[in-house]
Formats: sequence, structure tokens, C-alpha cells
Amino acid sequence: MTVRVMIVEDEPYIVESLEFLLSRDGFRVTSQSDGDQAMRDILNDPPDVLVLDAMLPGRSGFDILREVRNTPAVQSLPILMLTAKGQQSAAEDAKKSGVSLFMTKPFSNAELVDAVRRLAS
Amino acid sequence: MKRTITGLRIRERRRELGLKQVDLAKRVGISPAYLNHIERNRRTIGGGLLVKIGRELDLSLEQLDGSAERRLHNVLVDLATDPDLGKGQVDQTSVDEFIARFPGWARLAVSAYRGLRGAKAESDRLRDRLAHDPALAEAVHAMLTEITTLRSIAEILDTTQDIEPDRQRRFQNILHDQSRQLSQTGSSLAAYFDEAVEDRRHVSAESDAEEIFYRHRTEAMTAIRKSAATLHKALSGDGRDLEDALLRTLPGLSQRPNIRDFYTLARGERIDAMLTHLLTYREPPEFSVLIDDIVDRDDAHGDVAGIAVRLREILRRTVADEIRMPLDRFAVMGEGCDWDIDTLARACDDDSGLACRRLSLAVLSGGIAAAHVEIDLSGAVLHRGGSLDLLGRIRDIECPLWPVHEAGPDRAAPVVKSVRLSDGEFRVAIAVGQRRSPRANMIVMSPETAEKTVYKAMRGAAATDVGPSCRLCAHIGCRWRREEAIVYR
Repeated sequence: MTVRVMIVEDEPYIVESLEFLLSRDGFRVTSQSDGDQAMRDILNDPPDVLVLDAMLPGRSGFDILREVRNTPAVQSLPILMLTAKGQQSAAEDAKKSGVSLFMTKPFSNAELVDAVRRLAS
Repeated sequence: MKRTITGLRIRERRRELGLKQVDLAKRVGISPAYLNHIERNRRTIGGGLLVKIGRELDLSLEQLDGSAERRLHNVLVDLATDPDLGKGQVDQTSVDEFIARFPGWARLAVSAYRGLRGAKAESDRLRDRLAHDPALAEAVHAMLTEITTLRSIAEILDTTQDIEPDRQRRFQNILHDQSRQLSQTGSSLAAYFDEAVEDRRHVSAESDAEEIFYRHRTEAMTAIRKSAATLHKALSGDGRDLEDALLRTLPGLSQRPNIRDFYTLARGERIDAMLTHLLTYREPPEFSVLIDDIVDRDDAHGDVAGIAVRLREILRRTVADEIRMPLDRFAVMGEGCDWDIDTLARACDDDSGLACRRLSLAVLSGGIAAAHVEIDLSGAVLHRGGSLDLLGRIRDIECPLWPVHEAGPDRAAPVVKSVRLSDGEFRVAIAVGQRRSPRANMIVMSPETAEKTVYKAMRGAAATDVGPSCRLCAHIGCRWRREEAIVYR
């Protein structure tokens, strides 16, 4: 069965490049740019892996991370968080909130695809 | 270093110039016996007489009253005990001897040390700004996002062999667009840092003095209350009206202000102008010591002389305010009317500037915490005081949405607004025009403080987004923006 990855990111060019990379690697990819809508989508139809940007309009990536971990139906969802802000403190916050993997921008494509593969397995 | 140097300086210099005591006394309008007391340090002098003697002897005020040596001494002690430079290697007791024997080297060491402290303060400030400035954080975030896109797309184009032509063109367009955006963000960031350094050079003396006064206002208020009590007693000790007493005192001054000008002003403002003028010529002896002390302890750098001049103005103005409306009395009145600015202004000779200045310091008498900004109608900031932190990290109020820009001299009622600062914090701001003056005043308080006042309805009211200047403001979607922020989103 194809593994489904949801990208939650508000930068359209980054979404476009990630969709291209992950699709070519065999994943089924959906995306969402707004935090509130993303949370609704996760609850309605949970993906197998979530790639989540920390800074989003509406609900932030950290809010979504905490809410997912506090919702029994989806709390074990593997989450890769991306951030470009306050790298050390953001990594600590994400760790405390239960992130599966954490990656800072700019990242290499190979690293990102490898991280999603690890989470999918 | 004791303050006994003034008399000695006068005597030495007078002798150098070949002047007799009687001649110098005559030139400055005092008796030879009085000059003799001064030269023997049996009389402390300041203000107009000191200026006049300095002029006759061709000596600056700093050379005469020993403040230059005191400053040298204090900074050299700081240098000797600076933990970053190896504390304990220098014998502090030798500082005075060093100044006396090698004054040129002492000044050079102080100058180099001030430069070092200035550079360190500047680097701390920039580091702090990098960590906390919301506009800068946004710009760095934008830049990293643009770099991420460029890196990812470039890698795809470089490593993918069988990419469709349409997709290849699309990715090349993205590369072009993102590289253009990145170059804009980079240029803006460079300009931002240039401007930050320029700002520091050009506006530092006034704003630094306001910040220093804010940090040391508790101890400054002790000196201000003492000076005000002494002056008030001297002026109205016989029970006569303060204004009459001022007018009687003025003819005795060495340089009279133009009294006719004062009569064209309203009574309260006339008293204010006269008091401030009087304090210029009869400066309380506490001022020099206080200014030296807080300038040194605050590690002030840059235009130290300019900072001292502005601090003197703030002290004079605050002593004049204290005489016209003592802070303790004002705080009691404030509690009684729930800090209604209209009521307080009426109690302050109908002078809203006085009421706002007093309100900004009321916390020192058990009142509420507030910041005060005074502008003229061109929008130029004339004075900032009180709890400056309430104005946000960047103290500017250039944004036209601050209510102070809506308050003019003809406006009957205060303009009250709930505002949201660039860093997301909320404030309640009350602006009032100043009678017969092209000026306006604004009080800024936290919503929690506003709860204790007649402005409590503003807590939770719809807030207006305000910022410092457009360039540094993080409210990116503002329709009134007149200059691009450094963030391109």
C-alpha cells in the first residue's frame, strides 16, 4: 500500500519541491498551507507521515504538534518538523512536545527524503 | 576624590593671570571677602556665578568644578576593576596619583576604555536585537526560507536526469524568482543594520539620557525632591505667592531672562518657564554629583557631554514640576479620580503636559506605572519619560496610528485607544492636546493598569495595530504603510 505523506507548509515553492521529491520516491503526497485547516484534515483523514512547518498562518506547527499528541486517535502519527527560526530553542520545544524528527532549513533533499522514509517504516 | 578643587582652581588660575582678588571679585559682581571664602572652599558655588568666574578666567565649567577629574577617576577605577580585563592587577589607590602625574595618559586610557565599552555595548545590543526584534526575526526567517527553496530546486535540477521539459522550465522560473527575492531581503537586511548603527550615532544623546533617567529615577527623585524643597522654601518661605517670589528673585540674577516674554504666557506656564530658567542659573549642587554618578554607573558611552546636558534639562524640568505639583499630592489626587487625565490636568493649572509628566512618575509615590510621550504638531518627539518599557523595545512612535497624532490644541476630549504593539503586546494609550501650544501629550499604560483607572473599558476593546516606524514594524498587512518593511512576504 502506498504511504501517504501530508505536507503542512505555507511556502508554495517549498511545497512544490517537496511534492516532486516525495512523489518520485513513491509516496502519495497531499498538502495544506493553513494550520487550522491542516488540523481538521489530520483528524478527518490521518496521513501516515506528517511533514510540518513550525511557522504557519493560523495555528502554528507547535500548536498542531501538541494537539496531535493530545488526541488519542492520532497521537502516534510520525511527525517531521521543519523550522527556520531560533534553531536551538525551537528544537528543544519540539522535542518536549513529542516530535518524531526535527530538521532545520535549509536542508538537503536527500536528508529530507531519508527522514520521511525512516518515519514511514 | 573630594569636591574641594573649585576654590583652589580659581585661586591658581587667577594668580596665573596676574589678577588680584579684588579685581576678579569686581568683574563678577561679588565682594572680595566672598571670593576669598570661595577660594578657600568655605563657600560652595554653582550655576551663574561659576559660569561667570569661568568666563573671566577662561576655564570651562568642568575644569572649574573638578567634574572632569571626578569622571576620570571613576572610569579609571572601573577600568582597574573590570573583570573582562583581569581584575586585581592594578592598585586602585594609585588612580589619583596616576591622574595627577600623567593626566594625558589618564585621559587616553579613559578614552580607549570608553571605546572598548562602547563597542561591547553595541555588540550586545545587536545580539539582543537579533534574538528579540520581531521584524528582524521575520526577515531572517524569510531569508532562510528563500535559501531552502533555492537549495532544494537547484538540487533537483542538478541530480534528476529524466525531468519533463515543462517541469524543468517551472523550476528554472522558481529559481529566478527566489534568487531575486533573496537579493532584496539581503540588501534590506544590510540597510537595516547600517541604519541601526546610524540611529545609534545620531539620536543617542537625547534618548540615552531619557533611558538613563528612567533606570535611575528612584535615586534621582530623592535629589529632585531635596532640590525642590530647598528652592520652594527660598522662594515662598515668607508666605507670599510663588510667582511673586520668583519675580522678586529674578532681578538679583546675573543674567536676567526676558520677563516681558513671560507675561505673554499663561500663569502656570509662566511659572514653569521661570522656574526652569531660575534652575539654570542657580543649579542645585546635587545635580552635578548625581549626573556624574549615574552617567558613570550606567556605563554611558558616545556623546557623554550631550547626555549630561539633556539629563540636566530633565532634572530642571522635574524639579520645576515637583514645585508646581508635588508627586505625593498628585498620587493622592490620582487615586481619588481614578487617574482621569482631564481631572488631573485641571488640577495642574490646566497644563496637560505637567499632568502627564507627573503621571509618568506617579509609580514612585505608590501610583500607577505609565510612560509619557510629548510631541509637537510636526510629529517630532520632544520628551519621553516614565516607564519607557511600556513603549515597546523600540521606543519610537513614528507610526501615525498612535493616538497622540490625533490630539491637537483644539481638541476638547482626550483620544483614548487600545493599541497592539509590533511585538504583539497590548497597551491603552490616552492622548491630550496642550492648551495654547502646538503640542500634544500621550500616556501609555498596560491593560492591567488601565483596569484600575477610568479607562478600564478599554481592556479587551478592539485594538489598533501600531508600530515604531514602518521599516521596523512587523504589522506587514497595514494599509497605512508608507515604507516597505524589511520583510518581503
